[in-house]
Amino acid sequence: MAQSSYFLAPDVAYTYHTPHPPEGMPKNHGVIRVNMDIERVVIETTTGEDNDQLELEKLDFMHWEEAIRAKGIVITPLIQRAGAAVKVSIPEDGTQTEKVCIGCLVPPMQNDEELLDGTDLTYHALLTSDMRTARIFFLETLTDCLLPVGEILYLDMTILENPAFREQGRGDKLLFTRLDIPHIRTPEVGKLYVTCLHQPKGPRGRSARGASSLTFAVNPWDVQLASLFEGDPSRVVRHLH
Amino acid sequence: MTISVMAGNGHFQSQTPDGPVPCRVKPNTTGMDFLLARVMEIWNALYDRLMIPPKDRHNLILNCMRYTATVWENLVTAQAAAGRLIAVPPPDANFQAMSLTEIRDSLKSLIQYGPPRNEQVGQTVSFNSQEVNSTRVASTKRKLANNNIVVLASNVGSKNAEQKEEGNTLDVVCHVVPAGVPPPTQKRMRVELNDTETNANTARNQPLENQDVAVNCIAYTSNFAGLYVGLLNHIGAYPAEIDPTTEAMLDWGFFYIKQYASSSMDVFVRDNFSRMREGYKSRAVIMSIWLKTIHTLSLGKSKEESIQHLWFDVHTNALSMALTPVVFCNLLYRGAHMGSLIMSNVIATHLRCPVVGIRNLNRFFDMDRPPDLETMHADFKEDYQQIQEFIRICFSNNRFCPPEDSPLCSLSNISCYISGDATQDLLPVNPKTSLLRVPLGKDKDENHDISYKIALRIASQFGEELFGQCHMGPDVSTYRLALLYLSERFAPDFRGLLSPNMFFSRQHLAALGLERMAPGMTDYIESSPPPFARQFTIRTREQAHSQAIGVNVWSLLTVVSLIGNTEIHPDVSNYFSNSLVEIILSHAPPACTPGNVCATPRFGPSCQVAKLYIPELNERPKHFLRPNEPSFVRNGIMPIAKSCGRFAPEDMLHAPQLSAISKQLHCDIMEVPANAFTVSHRA
Repeated sequence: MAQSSYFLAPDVAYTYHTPHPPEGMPKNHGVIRVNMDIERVVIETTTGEDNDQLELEKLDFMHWEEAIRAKGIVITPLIQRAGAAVKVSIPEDGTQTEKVCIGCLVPPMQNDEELLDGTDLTYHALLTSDMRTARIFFLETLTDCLLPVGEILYLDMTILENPAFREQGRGDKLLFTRLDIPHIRTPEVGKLYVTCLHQPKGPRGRSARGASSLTFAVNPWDVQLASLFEGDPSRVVRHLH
Repeated sequence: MTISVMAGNGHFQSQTPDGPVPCRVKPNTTGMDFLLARVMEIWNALYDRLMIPPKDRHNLILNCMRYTATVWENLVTAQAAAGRLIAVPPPDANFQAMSLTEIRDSLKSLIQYGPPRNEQVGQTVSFNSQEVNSTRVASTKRKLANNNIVVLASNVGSKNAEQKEEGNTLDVVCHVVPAGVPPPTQKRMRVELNDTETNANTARNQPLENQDVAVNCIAYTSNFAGLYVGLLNHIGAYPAEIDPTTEAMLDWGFFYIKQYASSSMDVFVRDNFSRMREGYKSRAVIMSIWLKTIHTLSLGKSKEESIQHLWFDVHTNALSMALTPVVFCNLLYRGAHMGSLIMSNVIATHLRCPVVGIRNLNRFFDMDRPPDLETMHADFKEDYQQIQEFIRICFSNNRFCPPEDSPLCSLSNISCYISGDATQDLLPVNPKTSLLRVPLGKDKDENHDISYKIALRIASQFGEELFGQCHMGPDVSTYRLALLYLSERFAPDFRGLLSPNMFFSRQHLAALGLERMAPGMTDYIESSPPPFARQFTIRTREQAHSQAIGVNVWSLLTVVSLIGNTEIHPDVSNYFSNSLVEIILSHAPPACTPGNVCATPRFGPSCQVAKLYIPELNERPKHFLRPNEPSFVRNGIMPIAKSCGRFAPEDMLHAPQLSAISKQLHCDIMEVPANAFTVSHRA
């Protein structure tokens, strides 16, 4: 047993689940909020066959940790950072088959600060250039869909905004990048941040010593998972020259 | 009676009837004089807490050759930080009662001795002393026992109501061996144990309420915890580990301090930052374990359960996320160059520099034109007007110095360095009292340099305060060295934390509506920071008029604003570090500081817990801002604040132990059972 405390900010919905519920109790999930107006910790449990019913339980600050432990509740990780990427299977147009594509988690409403949709406990992923989004249940997002930072992604080089990078005649090439976390304070919504190695050409040719890394924002539909790439490996460029 | 504490090294000082005995060992940190003053303050605070009357304090000879005041410091810190710990005895107790031994049978296995460094328990220290009189020399050989402070807490099983009451309390056992008494042996200790079981003095008159568990702890020091845990860690029995999320937070904070705040640190600290970082991290772990031990025992569980509980906890979560601001504050407090900060306040006092809010100052730094004062918030308006008035006074009193050492012909070639008040002829207005500017001419100090002359003036005007409050001086060379450090090594640069336009003098004058007064003022755009102070010879093309030490006006405003006052006191370093940590944390995700408040210990006569209020003025990012490193592309590992599997540390800031527990239980983070957690307080 570890002595543990959660660090909950007021009025933020933290998702929870019961991976190993106590004997005789069903698995459930929901959100926990610290409500400063009523000075209580509120557990909102989703019940019903279609997850359409809500049970509220209000606990005081001194006992809520014990109470959730008794119920087998564990607060899950919560994605709040911009540029979080997920992989989603969507049906291909006009066919019965599914394809895996990369999405970027976006707030459910334009002015929302949180990525989690508290109404149905889903994350919204922006998938395609026509702004098609998918709702992914939070447990599925956290268990199966979330891509780790550092995941290798291949980027379509034609979309690079800097013309200097496109003058190389590499229109059909893919750039080796890694999924990163934004390096700026206010990242763009709906963009993934990828980092690649930049090796500028010096007077004595290119040397690894002078290499630096470049991070830029890209659309989720402009990158593909390296693990799913089946093309010619020579199409993949390791460095941005 | 000798009271000694159990481990450590470094600076020391003793209280004697004649006052504090100066140290003979050079401390291993900077700002020795200031540190000693602060240590004395802490000791006095401890004596107050122990209710030791002033007349008895000189009998408490702290054996500082071997032990360190850091122990007391940690002790008081922890007791102040943990609200439920009571560091003072109950009002009806007295000091004599506290020194009695109280150990119960069931605690024997928990009893530990704190052997001093490089010595074994029970070893005696011998020394010879000689008395010389007119006829003969008498040599006496004395033996001093190692003074063991044995600290234990009661943790008796709850057989009946009375014992339960005892079990729910922690009665710290402070075993003090008077000097000259032979060292305790196991046998004698057992006798003492038996004796004290029936000692009426140890009985409590009234039971404590369960809801408010009192912990009387005076001597189970964090250093002792460090010693014990360190040994266990060394043999691999119970490794203490920080969970990855807290480690990420520490990583990020240390990176920010080094990158953006180290410019105000002592140069030796700056060069040894990684060593210092590891040291403070270790100290924090020890402190955390110290608190956990006391807390675990106070839960009133069985001994076996307590030990199991504690060590699993230490293994997965040796340092609480809530303690990370304390680590940053402690490191910055020790690292910041205290001498320069105090001298900054001396100069600010002399120049009547305004103390404005650091956030308002930062906002001013970002402005490039005068604001509409009608629509301004009153707080900002007041600060803006104070800055404006101060710069006006600097112009009207001819305080500005020329760039580098070029002749000062007109306001078209002035720099942002200000000195003392001067006349139109560039001579000091008050030649005898002007602190930063002295006239050129023949006097008795003609052969000395400008820093010495100014040091003399500081000694005469502020010497009493500097010596009395800060243990600085009284020799003039101390002030001279501080001035030299100020001009050669102290270069505070917070462009990474505050506005990047911090040194854009031209822009700031435009924001004040004063750009016409100094058309020659330029913006400083170099990447290296400008020195805080410079030495100048103020001259026209024809002749030299005066010598001066000029301070960068923007640096001065920033440092004073970070300190928050112009007191001449060692506490300035505390204020400074707390303000910087507030600013650093405002760049961290909000989840690091739920409620935007953090508690850090603040020393002073009352050893209060200070609260850091993290501003929400600028929207805080939901992610850690990390540097760009080519290695990330090669190996996929983030340079700082590394990922925990598929989750970034940002995803688990509200539940930092999740990843450590999952690792311990060999399961996925989403499979961690609820019963792997225990709550951090009693029902």
